[in-house]
Amino acid sequence: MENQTDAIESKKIKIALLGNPNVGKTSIFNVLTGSRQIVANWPGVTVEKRTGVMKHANHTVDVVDLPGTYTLGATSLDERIARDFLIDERPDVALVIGDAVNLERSLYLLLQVLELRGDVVLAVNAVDEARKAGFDIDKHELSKQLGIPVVLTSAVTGEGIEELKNTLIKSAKSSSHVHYLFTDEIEASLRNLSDRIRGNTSLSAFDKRWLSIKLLERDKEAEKLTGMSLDYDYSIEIAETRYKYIKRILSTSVKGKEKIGWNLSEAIDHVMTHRFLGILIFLAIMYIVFQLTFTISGPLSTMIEDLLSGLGSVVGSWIGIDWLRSLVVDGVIGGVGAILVFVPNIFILFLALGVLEETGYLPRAAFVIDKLMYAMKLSGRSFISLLLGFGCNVSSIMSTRSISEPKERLVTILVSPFISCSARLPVYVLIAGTFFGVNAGIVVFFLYLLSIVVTVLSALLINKLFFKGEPSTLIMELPRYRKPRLTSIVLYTWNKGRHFLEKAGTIILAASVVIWLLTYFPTEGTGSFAATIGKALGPLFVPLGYTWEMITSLVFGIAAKEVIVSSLTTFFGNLSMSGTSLDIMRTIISPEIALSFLVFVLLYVPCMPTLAVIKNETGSYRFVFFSAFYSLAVAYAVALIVRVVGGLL
Amino acid sequence: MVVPLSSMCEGEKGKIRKLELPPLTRERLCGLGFVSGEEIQLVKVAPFGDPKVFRIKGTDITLRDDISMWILVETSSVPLSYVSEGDYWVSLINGGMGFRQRLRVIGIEEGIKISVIGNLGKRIEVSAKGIRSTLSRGQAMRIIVRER
Ligand SMILES: Nc1nc2c(ncn2[C@@H]2O[C@H](COP(=O)(O)OP(=O)(O)OP(=O)(O)O)[C@@H](O)[C@H]2O)c(=O)[nH]1
Ligand SMILES: [Mg+2]
Repeated sequence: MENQTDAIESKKIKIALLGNPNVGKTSIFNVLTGSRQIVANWPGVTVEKRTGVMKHANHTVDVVDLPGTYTLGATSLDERIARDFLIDERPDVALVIGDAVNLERSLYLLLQVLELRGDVVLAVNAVDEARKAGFDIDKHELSKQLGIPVVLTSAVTGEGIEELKNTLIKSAKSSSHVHYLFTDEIEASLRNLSDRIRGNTSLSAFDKRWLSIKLLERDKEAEKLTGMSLDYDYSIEIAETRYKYIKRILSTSVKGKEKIGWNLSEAIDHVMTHRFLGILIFLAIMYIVFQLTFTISGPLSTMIEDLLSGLGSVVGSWIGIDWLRSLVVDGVIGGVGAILVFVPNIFILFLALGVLEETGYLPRAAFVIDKLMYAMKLSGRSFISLLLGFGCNVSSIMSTRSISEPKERLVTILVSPFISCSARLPVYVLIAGTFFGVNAGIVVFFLYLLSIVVTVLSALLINKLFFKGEPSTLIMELPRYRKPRLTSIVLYTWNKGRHFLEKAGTIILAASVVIWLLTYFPTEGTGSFAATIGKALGPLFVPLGYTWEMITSLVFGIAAKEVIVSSLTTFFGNLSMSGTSLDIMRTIISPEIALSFLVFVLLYVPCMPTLAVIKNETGSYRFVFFSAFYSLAVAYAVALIVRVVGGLL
Repeated sequence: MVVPLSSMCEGEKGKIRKLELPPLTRERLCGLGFVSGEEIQLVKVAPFGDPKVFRIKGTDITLRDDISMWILVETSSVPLSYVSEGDYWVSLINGGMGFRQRLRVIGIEEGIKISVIGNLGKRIEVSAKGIRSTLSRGQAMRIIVRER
């Protein structure tokens, strides 16, 4: 019988998650669908729509997580994605997630959604925090006043999740649309406009009252849609009516406001964003992050290295055929292994970034740094995006979607590849370790500093060239501090670090095999294809003094920066598989060339995935070419300076 | 007195009167709770004086001066000559360079805290930045202060 009901449901139910940024939409999405999307404590984490499947009581439902938005007015790309989904895709149920600690603002968005459509469910999330803060929310009263189902939830404790699932399924089958009333004057205008819209049959798919409200608010999209434009603007009156209505609802449904007294969040903030200490604290935190990345991972890396070299010799002794042994040991185990050694570094870096994101410190850092960003015509918001680039440039570029100023967003996208991502880290450690011994740390620090300097100068230059220095702006919410929960941090670290492992198993593995083939055919060594590639480009690199091995590795490194390490170990490494030692290289080139090479690796052409995401986010190959050639030119120039100056010392 | 949000002092509260901003920015701010009649407090000023953090409807929002200067708020400001003993914030000095310079010497500037120690008769005794001084009633009329 039950299977039959499933079969009759021809159309799958679709539920959209909407809400203010950082209220816990993705957290709810994860518990509803069993997904593992990244959550973090700052507004603007989710920038694209994500679909998951919720199975509940014989129902299979599509749930769509959307970026956060304060209004349906959409000023940035991520907000537009949320708004367009709601309006164009018409989900069966709109699940609005509200913040129990800040219901007033959450309800503002809810009212806008209620104006647009029916079948809305409100989940008042983070009730655990609200209770601690001393709020008492009466969901029955809220539900009665709003005329829609209301559920109190906590994505952390799991409270209310079952009830939410039941409510969602029930709502998908019903169909109701409630309205609240504006002032008489506005209601009269709305009636009048609705009548005029009714005459236009092409608009029959839209709610007439909603279109009328939007027209009174002088909403550009509504004006385009209807071809109507009013010469008066009621947007202020309408906003004030909404808030008045909300105040009335909350006065009966929420009790116990504002505990007065010592507030931990405020006390922490006092120090973190202190006028003098703020910047010092930020620098100290960054220093600790990088220290952790390089020190704690040491012993773990050595362990992996030993394990792999053991594996190499064991496998090597099994295989009798020379070329096959070389392929497996030098090519695969050597090439991929050279990267796997850095797994601890990468994971610890992401762990540290995860803690920064989960505590809510990131927006504070943005606040402290904003004035400096202003000099580059950027803002604290773009600073957050750039900071994420130390993990991965791709996610950095994706996160620019919530920057509302298009020019600021474009500049941020174009300069972000100069931020030294984690994939470049293996190259630094390997080469700096080989050439600079105890001073390797200083060299790596210099590279990170250079990365920031070039990013800043490029932002200035691009602004001067293209935008004549139009300023950006900053409107950003500072979320309350949260104690980082282990599950979120693990989820975050795994989600981001997994990418690195996937790369090792795919692109780097493939590249290692290809490089091995190119190194051994047609003849091994200087007669190989790999040498031919390097030597063909050789004349260009004469001023820099790079050998063909280095040049070839740079070519392959465009696929993924880690491949530079795999190539170099294949070219210079020996059969005994010593993953991190390139002693042969030291006899061929001088330290200043090695340093210049590191600078080149830091600055030259962004990796393929980054170029692809630049194309995707800017919608034009122009910027891909710009990015590739500009960075190549910068890399060449700076690397040359380093070599020449280094040679003099 | 109605002043731009950007000119408030740290810790000061006011009520929003008007947003003189382009529609899109205004709408975004509306969604954050910036509507007239709403109480707002300047919580924090960033290391270089800009941006600033404001508390509205229980959340902290940071805005740059280029936006907050177009948001007008009503604050409880009065000339210094009318106030009784206690702590105040100097919000405005009505006077030219010379007058301002003279006040600066005794620690009085826009945005700083001032304590009124005695306000009797013709003279007002104040202390600012640890400097005690006496102002004439005429001078005090031209210094606008607000309660915290
Ligand atoms: N205490 C508590 N914290 C929660 C709850 N739900 C979410 N959080 C935390 O709130 C923060 C934001 O959660 P997200 O799920 O990323 O919020 P979001 O609405 O998807 O945010 P954006 O994608 O940036 O719009 C995270 O730090 C979560 O751990 C809850 O019910 N209780
Ligand atoms: Mg999210």
